[in-house]
Amino acid sequence: MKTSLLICATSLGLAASLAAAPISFDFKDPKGVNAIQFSLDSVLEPIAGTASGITGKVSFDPANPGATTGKINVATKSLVVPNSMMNGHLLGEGWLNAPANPEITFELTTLAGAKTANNVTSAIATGKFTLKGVTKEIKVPVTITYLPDAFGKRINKPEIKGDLLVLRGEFTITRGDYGIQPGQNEDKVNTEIKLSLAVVGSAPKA
Amino acid sequence: MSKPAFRSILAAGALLTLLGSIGYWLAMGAHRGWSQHRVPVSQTDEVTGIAFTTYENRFVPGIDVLGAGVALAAFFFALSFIFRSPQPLPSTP
Repeated sequence: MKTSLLICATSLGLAASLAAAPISFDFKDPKGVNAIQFSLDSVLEPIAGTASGITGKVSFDPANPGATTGKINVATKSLVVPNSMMNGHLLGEGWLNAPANPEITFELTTLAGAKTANNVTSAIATGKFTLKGVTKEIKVPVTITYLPDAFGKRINKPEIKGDLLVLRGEFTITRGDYGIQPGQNEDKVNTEIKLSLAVVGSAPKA
Repeated sequence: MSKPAFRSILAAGALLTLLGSIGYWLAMGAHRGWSQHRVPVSQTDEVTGIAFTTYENRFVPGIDVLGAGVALAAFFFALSFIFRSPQPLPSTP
């Protein structure tokens, strides 16, 4: 009897610890819709575009969202604006110099003030943002939406089990802080760049 | 070709260029920003609710194209003045 109880307790403990384990979400989206939107004011109209080359992994524990860690990478060459000439300038040596700076990254170090309701966690993410080879610590208000068992539905294969994690956030950087034409062309292109993040990570279950 | 005839052709060309560029810009959507070589289209992922952008590869002329057309028309019109008919000298009393 004692042995049975011990086995039961051990099994429950093991199950609980497995259920509470952090889940690793891969942000290389199988549907290819992950993107970061950016915009900055300029003469005539705002320059708005997207960066779609998102990769990275985030470790998220549904039982402890505040312990979330991870890193999101953006391929610099994936930045697109509607005008081809502007696109060339944006990726060229004078601006982002994409060949020399192939990645833009955000590495999450801490998540403060996490509040969770209905699988949605709001918090302030602190992390290291790297752009054009310059790394600075920034704080970003984020929402993290945990969607259990939604992976299969999203890829139209409900038989495949797995979870999704949606990250959303908006922040503004000053281009001069990252060595992007500091003090130059400020009358033509605003110094502030608004970045909007809405990406989904997948954790299929084998 | 005589100078007056060439002048008329340049003036007509200027008018056609002006009307053509305005008409083309209006017909293609009268986009008041810079020309677009790809057009952003907003979509929403049903499961996650993420709004994302895809691009359609088509050209939308902006005011840079309109401006170039107007400038070309102005150039033709200005050029036409070079081919003015020689003015008769004022008669001396």
